[in-house]
Amino acid sequence: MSALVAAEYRKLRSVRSFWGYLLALIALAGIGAAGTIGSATDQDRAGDAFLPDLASVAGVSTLIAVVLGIVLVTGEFRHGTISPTFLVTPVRERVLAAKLAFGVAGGIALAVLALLIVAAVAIPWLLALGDSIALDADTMRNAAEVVLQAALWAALGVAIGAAVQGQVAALLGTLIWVLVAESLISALLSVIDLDGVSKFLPNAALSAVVGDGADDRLMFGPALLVSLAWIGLIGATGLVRTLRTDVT
Amino acid sequence: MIEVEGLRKRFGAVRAVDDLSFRAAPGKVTGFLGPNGAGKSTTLRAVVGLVHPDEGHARVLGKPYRDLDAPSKHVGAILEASEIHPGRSGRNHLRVLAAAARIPPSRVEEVLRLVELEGAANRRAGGYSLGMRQRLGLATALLGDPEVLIADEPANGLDPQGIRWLRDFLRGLAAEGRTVLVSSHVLAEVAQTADEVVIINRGRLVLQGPMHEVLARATGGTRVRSPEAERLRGLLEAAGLPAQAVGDGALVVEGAPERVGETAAANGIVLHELGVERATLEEVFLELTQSEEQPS
Repeated sequence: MSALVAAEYRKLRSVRSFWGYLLALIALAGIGAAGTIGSATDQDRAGDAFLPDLASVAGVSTLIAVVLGIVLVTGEFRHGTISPTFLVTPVRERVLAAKLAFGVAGGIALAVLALLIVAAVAIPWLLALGDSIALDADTMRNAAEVVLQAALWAALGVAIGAAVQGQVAALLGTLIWVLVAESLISALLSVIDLDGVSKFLPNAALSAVVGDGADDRLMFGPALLVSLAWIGLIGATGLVRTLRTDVT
Repeated sequence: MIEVEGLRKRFGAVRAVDDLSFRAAPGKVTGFLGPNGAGKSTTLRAVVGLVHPDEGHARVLGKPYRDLDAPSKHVGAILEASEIHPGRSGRNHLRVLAAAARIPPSRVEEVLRLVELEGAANRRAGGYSLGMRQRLGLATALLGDPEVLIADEPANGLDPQGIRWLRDFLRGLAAEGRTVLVSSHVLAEVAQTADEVVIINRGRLVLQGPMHEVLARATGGTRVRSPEAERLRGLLEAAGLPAQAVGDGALVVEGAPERVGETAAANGIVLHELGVERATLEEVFLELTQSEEQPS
């Protein structure tokens, strides 16, 4: 198994998109942190919620994490490298398990890196403004939840990739779901008086892993469970599809 | 040893492989022949577990491919030259697979040297020629130093030296006692390489047998050329040897060259050429695969 995870790392490291992920992460996390600090008034910065909010800016890593997860699987179908991959490891479950493990590790690494980038922008800036930086429990909790969230999104990405196989369809479908489809479904649900169901939808559940539970959001524990259930459901679909696929 | 038994596979309405059985023995090069679309690639992919048969099964070294322990150390397969990430170098392509198969990186250098791809190994594979991709495919198949080699149209895109090199290479592997199964849609391409041939058409077996038996079918009549071709033709037909003018003063005669020569000598006809007509291998191939299409 460790050999397969190592192979996944080599696959990622040996193509230029590796640097694309890093550059996108640096840009998103850097701009997010700068925007949050730059647009904050003195009063905002003095508030209790400011540092925890700043930590959640690293949540932009979830976007890269889900793309990474999707491409780990669909990239192999796109370029046909799935054939040599399955020739070396004909027990396809093991290939998917390795991709899942590597994707989760990659998601965690991306989130940690995003936190470091946010810190690198925020600490000198806030010190220059004369603020004191105290890492309170809420900030630390948000930081940890961001890391967990990125791991979940990466796992969801691997599951989506295995279920869809087509790279463009998987990326576009996920983007449309997150940006448009889920909100539309929520709106429809509220029309038929089922508002309570919306928070169980995938994007809502994975979002609720970070931050406090509000009326329209799940609490941390249920959010994590519902997220894992979605990953399990889509992942099981992906597993069945992967095992049945004829690689021609 | 590769064994295919009663293999059937449909893709939608198309019967890609239809009750196909054959085997490829160790120590021999087995040519797997058929026109484009005959089901060769589907069969080879079923042998290595990439395609799931509807019925029947394929075994390599006595087991389904999926059940082999460390399969790339027993079986190497060259399936399609395009199965390489264009942004990854040839060396990294091999290193990725070596890592997954727990094959040491030193073996990557060995196979690169073997297929003479060292010079281009650090370049992105997207810029490789078809021939270079084929050689990278061969390097991939050989990573695990396998006992069984399966190659789907490996000569595609190779230049004449490359084809000759490949032929010698495959023969060398068989001489070491390995099983080599190599597909082609051109009979002539494997005529000098293969010991055995399996010919399929429309997913069905047409013929399996030693190469020399198939070559023997390629012998048809006598070719003769004469400045008096028309007169000779009349004399031959009178002697019970039907002949056909094929242009440039040449005739193809249904009969042995001895009798044609004797007929010409008895009538004082000058001959410029006399020999056995070997219908091209492709004609035999077409004949074999067409008779399948039009059952009488």
